[in-house]
Amino acid sequence: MKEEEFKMKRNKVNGMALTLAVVCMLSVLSGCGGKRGLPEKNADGKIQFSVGGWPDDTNKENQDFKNKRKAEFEKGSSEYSIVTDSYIYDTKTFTMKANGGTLPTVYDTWFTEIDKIIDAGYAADITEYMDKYGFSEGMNPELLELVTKDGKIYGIPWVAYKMGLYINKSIFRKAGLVNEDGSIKYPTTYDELAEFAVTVKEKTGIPGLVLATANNNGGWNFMNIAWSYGVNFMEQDSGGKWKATFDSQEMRDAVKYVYDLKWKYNVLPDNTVIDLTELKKTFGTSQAAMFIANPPRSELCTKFGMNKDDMMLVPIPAGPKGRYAQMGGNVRMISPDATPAQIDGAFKWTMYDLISKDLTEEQIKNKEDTYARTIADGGIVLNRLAFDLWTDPQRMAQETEISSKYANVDPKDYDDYFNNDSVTIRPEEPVCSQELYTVLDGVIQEVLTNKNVDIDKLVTTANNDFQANHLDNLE
Amino acid sequence: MKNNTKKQFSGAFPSVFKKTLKRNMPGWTLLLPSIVLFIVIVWRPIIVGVLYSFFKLNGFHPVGFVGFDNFIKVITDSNFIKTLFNTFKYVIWSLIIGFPLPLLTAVMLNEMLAGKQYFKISTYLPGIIPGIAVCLIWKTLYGEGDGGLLNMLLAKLNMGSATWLADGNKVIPLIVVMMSWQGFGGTLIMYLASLQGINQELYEAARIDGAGFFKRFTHILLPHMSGIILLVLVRQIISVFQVTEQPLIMTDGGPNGASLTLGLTNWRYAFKFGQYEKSLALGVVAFLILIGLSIIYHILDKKIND
Repeated sequence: MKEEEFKMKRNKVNGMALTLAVVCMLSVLSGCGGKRGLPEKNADGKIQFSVGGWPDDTNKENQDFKNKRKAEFEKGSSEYSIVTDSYIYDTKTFTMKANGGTLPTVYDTWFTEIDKIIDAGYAADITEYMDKYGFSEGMNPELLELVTKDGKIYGIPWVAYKMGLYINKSIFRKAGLVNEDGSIKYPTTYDELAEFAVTVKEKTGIPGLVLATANNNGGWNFMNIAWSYGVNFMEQDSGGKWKATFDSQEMRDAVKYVYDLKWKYNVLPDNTVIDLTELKKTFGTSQAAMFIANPPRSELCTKFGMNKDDMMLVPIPAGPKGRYAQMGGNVRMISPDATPAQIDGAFKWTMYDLISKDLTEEQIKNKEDTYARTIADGGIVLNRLAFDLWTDPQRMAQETEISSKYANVDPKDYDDYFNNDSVTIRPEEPVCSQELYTVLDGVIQEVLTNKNVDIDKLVTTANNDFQANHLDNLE
Repeated sequence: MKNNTKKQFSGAFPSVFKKTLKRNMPGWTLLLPSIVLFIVIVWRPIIVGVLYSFFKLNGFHPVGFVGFDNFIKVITDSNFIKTLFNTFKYVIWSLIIGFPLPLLTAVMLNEMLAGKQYFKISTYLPGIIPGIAVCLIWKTLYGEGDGGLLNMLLAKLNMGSATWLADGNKVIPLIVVMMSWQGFGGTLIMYLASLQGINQELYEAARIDGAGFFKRFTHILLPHMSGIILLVLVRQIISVFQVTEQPLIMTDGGPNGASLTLGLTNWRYAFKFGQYEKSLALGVVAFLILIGLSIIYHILDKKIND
């Protein structure tokens, strides 16, 4: 009897194990294979490619606008069919989509992500098309360098900017920071920035400045100050190894400056957890008089209700070792799963919808439509592009001519930002920039929350942590 | 001889399998969807995750076996010990703040004759608010300066503003208070369910014999509830050990890493830095620590039951 029971038990276990094994195998197999990317041709025999960032049903007006443009493109280039995809680049989901082969054929991302994407092989080599359509020849070489690796080009930069200092004119007026001719006085050095911030705080009770502190934005914001104080964050030795080099007096001075803003001058907001959204919210709702950012910042008006005429953008202040502003922007990339015909179609769409070396009447009209829509949405149109995308002055003049027709802010409020030649523009640090920002976030948070902080020790620890935890892990 | 055994085995196994399947076909059919889901959603990712933690990855593709390199990298990270210590601090504070309160409240509710239902519902309400909303509500409550709700309250009481989440020493207990508030109702319901399983005759007899509340608690409630208390304890340790979204939303691990946890570090490796192999290795380390804690729980449980 006992033997029978044992046999039954054993049979059950065997049966269960076998079922599990079969299902496990099926499941593992189901994870293999599968088609990557969109098939080159659709049922009608047209070349199809998908375009990411398409407005979804929650943004009906924009969706209709883009759909109309899509229809016009497909009418003019009848061999193509665009598949719309609402996916917007997000660091949290990008790798999953790229690995799963479900990236849209065309997607947009930021300058900060370029190296990571190229290194992982998630962007197609588009050198051939950049040459064919005149981008390689006509585009600003500074921008092309950002998207080039080992002589191959992987992206089309389509918006670029340098950081500047935003000022709330209304608060400045209340604080009496006005010249005799009625124009707004603004700080040109970081020391003056502190002085102006103190005046604002004393006269209005509003914090003079807001700095980001969290979610890597603290580090990102701080770079402008640190470079201007002469900080050199890393160097590559002759053997190719990277060394952290910011355990320096320059870094201590830059960190001390931030410390003083909080504990000596008391000009920062009480909140010490400030990411990019909080940063914009604080400035956009007039809870701070200044912040470091890039133009045109339409969202300050559309999301936070700020009056566009209250904003003014001036050059980034100078520090003891120069005046440095970080470069940023957006870049268009193409899925590595795209076929040559799809890449060609994606280029034609990009040139129709977004950016091209030569402007046709149709493209001028598209640009004008986009500006008109920005204004209708309550956003800001400047009288020129924030950064020279093209080397040809005539080409840039064309851009200025179009945008000037739609500019809805006083150019005087932006002229100094555009015309200051003493600003040195710097791209991000060459390696581990996001990791560096995380380390610097911690430094900024510590000096803003600990009055008794030992800055010497803090800087040394940050430098060593960055070296040991990040640079030493590079291959 | 060996070949014979092999033949017997290969012949017997499918027939045994068939018999087992035939005998329990409805049962197996009913089980199948759950088994498939478990394999696809739970077991496969765990196995693949552990496997991949020994590889260098390009995105999610393994490109080379690296042995324990990923583990060495995450364990020798200069923030690892601090982060591990922080995570245990969350667990300890949750045991101090979040563990005894639901138990005491459940016992009190059990003793109440009127209004029981009202208190049951009202204590459970925070549990149905989405996690992110809870974090945002409490972030406003803990706001620094004059704009923070708690500071407004202090101002009404003619007291100066306090520092809340910006204080590295206070940040973990403050986050734990929020987590306890949110999880309070769920734990309470478990205790109440256990309390309702107590034989009321025992309780009545104790009352007739003149046993007061404290005696009833120590002699009837506590022995009866020891199992559920241990279960809640181990569940709480495991779930608090994995805390990620609360410090992510409220402090981003700050100030200067004071509220950083293993879970949040894991999140950073994966989603901030794209270092998936390190994220997986840290996940395995956390998994092993939790297995260790679970073994301790089972030993304790066995001892108590014996």
